[in-house]
Amino acid sequence: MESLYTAAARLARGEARAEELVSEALDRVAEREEDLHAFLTLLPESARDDAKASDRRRTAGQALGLFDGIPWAAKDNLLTEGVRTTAASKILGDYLPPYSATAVRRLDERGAVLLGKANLDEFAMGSSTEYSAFGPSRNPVDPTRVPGGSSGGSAVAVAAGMCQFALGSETGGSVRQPAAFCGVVGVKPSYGRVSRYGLIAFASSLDQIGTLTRDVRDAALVLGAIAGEDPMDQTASTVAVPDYLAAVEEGGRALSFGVPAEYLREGVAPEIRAEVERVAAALERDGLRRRDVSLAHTQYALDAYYIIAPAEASSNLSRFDGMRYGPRAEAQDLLEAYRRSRGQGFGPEVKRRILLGTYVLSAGYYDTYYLQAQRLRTLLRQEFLAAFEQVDFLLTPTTPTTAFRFGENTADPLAMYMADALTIPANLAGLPAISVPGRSSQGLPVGLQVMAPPMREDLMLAAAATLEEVAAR
Amino acid sequence: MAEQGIVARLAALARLELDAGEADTLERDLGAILEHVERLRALRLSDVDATYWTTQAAQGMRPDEHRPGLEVEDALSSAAARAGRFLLVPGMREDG
Repeated sequence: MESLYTAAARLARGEARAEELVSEALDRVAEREEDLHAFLTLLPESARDDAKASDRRRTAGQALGLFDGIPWAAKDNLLTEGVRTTAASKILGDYLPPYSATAVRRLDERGAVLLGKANLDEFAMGSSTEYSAFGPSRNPVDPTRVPGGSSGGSAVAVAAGMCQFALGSETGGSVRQPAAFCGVVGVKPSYGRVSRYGLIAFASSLDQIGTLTRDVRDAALVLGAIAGEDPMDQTASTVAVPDYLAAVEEGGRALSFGVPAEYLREGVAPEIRAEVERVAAALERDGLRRRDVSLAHTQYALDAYYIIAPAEASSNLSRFDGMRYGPRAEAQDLLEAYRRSRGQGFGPEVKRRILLGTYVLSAGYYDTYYLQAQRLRTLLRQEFLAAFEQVDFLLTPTTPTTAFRFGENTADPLAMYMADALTIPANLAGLPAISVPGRSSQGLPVGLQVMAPPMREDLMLAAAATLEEVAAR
Repeated sequence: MAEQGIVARLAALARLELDAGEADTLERDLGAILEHVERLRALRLSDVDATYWTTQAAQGMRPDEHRPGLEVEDALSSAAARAGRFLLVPGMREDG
């Protein structure tokens, strides 16, 4: 399937109609969805109607811009007014939200056509979609392997050509990791760059909505459409949104970069290390300056994350109790109704994290775990900011391995958590980061990660555009 | 390392019903995860400030003015049980 940019150009030139684009997308879904299970809800009828409306606007000279008529998919933890939103959990059942997320609304206002709601790990807790209560998605490159997660359905939909782009969400790598596993581009913006209003909360000091696209230019377009302040989210930054497309067109050849050794150590597959070194050498040959940088506290990032994220999740998920939304279990009294509804409604990984979070926040343990993790976060962020005094961006692998097989990590939660070891630091520090496909290894996609200073998505995208070009050689 | 019987206590705090098999698995997992984060506990960080949020600058507040919000009908539309404008919930017991 063509990129968003190309499809939009064809629509603008009158060489295609939105109805055709949506039809092609739905044909592709019909062809591959049974094997891949990218979606939890499909909206063929409303998508066709929206496409017709888009074509009518265009004929009347009233097109809403570049996104008008472009099919897309939303991760199913983004609220969509009147459209079932489950967060891949039984506890939300057939929840119909009364309003849409700001990011969804912004795309809707631009005429983008929502094709469906994409699968995820339950409440975005997982790295493979194996924790979806409705069954996993499968990797389009090799359906015997996971697509990554938690935004696995979004990555699959884009990689399999079912839509031009998708939105996902990140708490510890949930956009970049599936992007790397499926061979597409995934962006985690800086904390505060995109409003989270209408994103079902997991860990509020970490959560961000991100983009999944076919290339870096499309990432710039989608990010530009959803970023910016929002009166409905106090954490959404009031810093102006730059012209990301201009940054991509300028490229990153005048920039300097570092490859922190801590991201290439034990646990990172040799072929992934080799791909990062190959691309780093090619960037140097193209004139980018490389300097050594060190991020010594990276080794503790995963530990801090698995204290902070469950702590915040245990608090956020207390609202799911069978009273206001979702099914309520039969019970004699209120407490029993809470316990049963939650016990029956949540899956194993969500329960694991709620209990872990309850533990680290409980009396006597708060300082030892939660406060300690937040202090580590300060050191991690300071280290990143010091590195960005030396170089413009950091180049690392996105994941330690390529896509793993189903069941390989489900018996050992720590092994599953390791899949996010290289993406988590950017979430803890609030940095923007992007995964760009490198050269495949044994037929499986490899992701290259660029991290940039806070709120410098322009610089990140410029670097990623050059990286994309260099990596494809 | 998680102490014996901790999962039952945490499940009670978290209002979460677990069956015996789940509780055993979770006790084992919790122990393994806590053992893993021991390294972080061992760091001497008492002189480091905590970072709870990474938002860049002080964000503005909305004007303090009345405006329409969610209608009660919409807000209650997904409730398991309701009575008019209210959520209907099971009764509380004295010992609950």
